[in-house]
Amino acid sequence: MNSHTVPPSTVADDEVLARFILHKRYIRNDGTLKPDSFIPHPHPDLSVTRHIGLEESSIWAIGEGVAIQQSKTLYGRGDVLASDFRSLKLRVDADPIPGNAHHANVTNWPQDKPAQKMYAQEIAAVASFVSRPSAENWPAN
Amino acid sequence: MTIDIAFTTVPAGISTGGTSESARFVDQEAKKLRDQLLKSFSFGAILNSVQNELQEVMEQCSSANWDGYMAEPVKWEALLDAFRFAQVIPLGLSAPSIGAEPDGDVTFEWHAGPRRTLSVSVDDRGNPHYSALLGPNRSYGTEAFVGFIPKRILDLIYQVAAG
Repeated sequence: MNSHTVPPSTVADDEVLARFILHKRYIRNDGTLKPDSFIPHPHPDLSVTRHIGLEESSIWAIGEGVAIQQSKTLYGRGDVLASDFRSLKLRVDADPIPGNAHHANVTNWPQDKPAQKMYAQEIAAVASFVSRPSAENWPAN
Repeated sequence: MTIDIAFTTVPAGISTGGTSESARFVDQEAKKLRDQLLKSFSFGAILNSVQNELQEVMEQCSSANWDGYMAEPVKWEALLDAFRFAQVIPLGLSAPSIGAEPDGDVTFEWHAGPRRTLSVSVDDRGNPHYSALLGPNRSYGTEAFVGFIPKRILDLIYQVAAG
């Protein structure tokens, strides 16, 4: 399935969601992600991409698109299960947008900063960081 | 741009809070001791590392949208408060990793594992916001920074970094 294929309108608990990482300092020396990378500010929602039905190359293509649009470097992605967000009482809603039918929003974040930090820490604790493949290892379609 | 604030020129923040001659003597001796420790290789190296990281944060996060998701630039006042905060981190502990949050706050992280981790954000009003995961427990809140690290945060640093 490519990124133009429409995924199911409901995000299942076992779906993997990717947060693209465009800032190097969000990555710890041990290859894990800092919680700072999951704080949605200034948006009320955290923008993620659903893996469902996508080949690896399509996921990276979406990430590259985001990076190019923002004139940033794509360093990798943080993969998190939808159920991990939901276990914190966050909501995960499909939100297809032009160019990314797999876009979703993580909503219902607490307003106060310390609680938001704690949520981000919990997410970072279970997130898997995947480095952007080098050009020679770029996945084929 | 370079930051020309050396750690040793920022008020040390070590004080008994007393005004008597004895209290002033103790304060002066404590400051002398700390300055000596700062000059020693191991303690000085850690603080230099923090200072360098703060400078990198300033360089990498001072323009809008530095994270590609519309982050706010790191605020100058937050950087200054972060310098002050860094200077009173207990000597002998491992150096925190410095970063920034999308609202422009500076973060200090002590991380020993996914569930032994502490993040402290310093904002432009000098208030440290903290959150820690310690095994099954969570601890988070906001404290006032008045020249020394609040006891609650200090306890968490010890639990994560020295535990």
